[in-house]
Amino acid sequence: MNNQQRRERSITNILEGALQELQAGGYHQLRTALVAKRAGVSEGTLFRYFPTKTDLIIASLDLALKRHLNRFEKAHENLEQPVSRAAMLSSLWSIISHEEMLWTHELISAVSTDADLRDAIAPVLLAHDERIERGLPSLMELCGIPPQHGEYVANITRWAIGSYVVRDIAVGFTGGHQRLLNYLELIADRIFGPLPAVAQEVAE
Amino acid sequence: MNGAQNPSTRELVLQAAVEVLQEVGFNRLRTTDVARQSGLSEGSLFHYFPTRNLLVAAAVDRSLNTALETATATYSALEPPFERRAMMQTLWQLLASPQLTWLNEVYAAIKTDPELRALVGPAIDASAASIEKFASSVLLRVSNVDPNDATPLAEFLILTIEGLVASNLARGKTGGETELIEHLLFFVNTMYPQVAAA
Repeated sequence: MNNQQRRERSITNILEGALQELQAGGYHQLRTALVAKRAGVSEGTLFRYFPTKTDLIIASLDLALKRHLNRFEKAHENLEQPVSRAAMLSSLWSIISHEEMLWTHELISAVSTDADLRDAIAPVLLAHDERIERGLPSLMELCGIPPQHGEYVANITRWAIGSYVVRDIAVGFTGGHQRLLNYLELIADRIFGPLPAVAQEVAE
Repeated sequence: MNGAQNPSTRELVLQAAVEVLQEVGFNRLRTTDVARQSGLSEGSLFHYFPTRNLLVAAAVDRSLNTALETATATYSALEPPFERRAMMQTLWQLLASPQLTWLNEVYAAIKTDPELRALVGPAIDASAASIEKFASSVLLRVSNVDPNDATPLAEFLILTIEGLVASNLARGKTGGETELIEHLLFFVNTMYPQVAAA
């Protein structure tokens, strides 16, 4: 194994270790010593690649969002045709509330008063927004939500689920997510009417 | 509070804590800064709030109550006919107010700080319920919303607005609320056509 490969393997191990730590305790209590231990490297090695804790958080966020996007862009494949609105919403729910994403919601909602961290993570978030915003409306169109509203229904769904997940973590609410999903489905049904003809025929 | 008297020392400390928390956030809150802001010694601060967590818990309680009182007052001051747009704006102002946004950091912290969680949990639970109650009573007032839908609709509006607020703050963006409010209005008006004013 040459130096380049060794370097890449260390970075991969460190980021995997960081994601595990972040999932377990959130960004708030991230300890580099524990990350280094999980990665099987020294703390010195960790600091060589990620000089500050913020650098490590940013790289972890980037990796978590990339995986999130992959899950999201594969969502179409896993939905059974015809796609019901309930199935589309449940699928979005499970992608957004995936265990690897929980700490990122927490981070995003908590950085509002942490200016340094906020400035550091904003570019990472913005870099991923475009792919999400491109993908969401087509998911909506699959179940009869017209393109002119697709983006908004999509964003509203994303925001509502995201903040629900944060609240769920903080206050320990459980089980409310079905109520939220039912309501989102109710809104879509009342506003956009029945599902497209294809879906109807098969349902009958 | 007894308005005829000067604010008590405890009150001064609490006000200073809320100001510092809104400014620098929970993680970077230092009791020395709160003491300086209130013009008191750190010793007097600890007399009223023996630990940092106790100070934060009191500040959480205070911020939630103040924000809700302000929103209620704003809404009560509106003249009939009550408009859905004004109602949405009131909700936006409540949820985007600096009085509440710093709390997100506390929500993140209590996950790994059971002591803080025990101190602030009841206040957060109670206020989440009050905000939802406020929103659903406002919704019922703007006419023709099915009473059975008022609670889920309120919850949905609150979560959506909170989501955009957090999403904007994290990206260093501002605005977007006009568009959001128009779109939410479109949804609400389509679901529950407004009754013409009598």
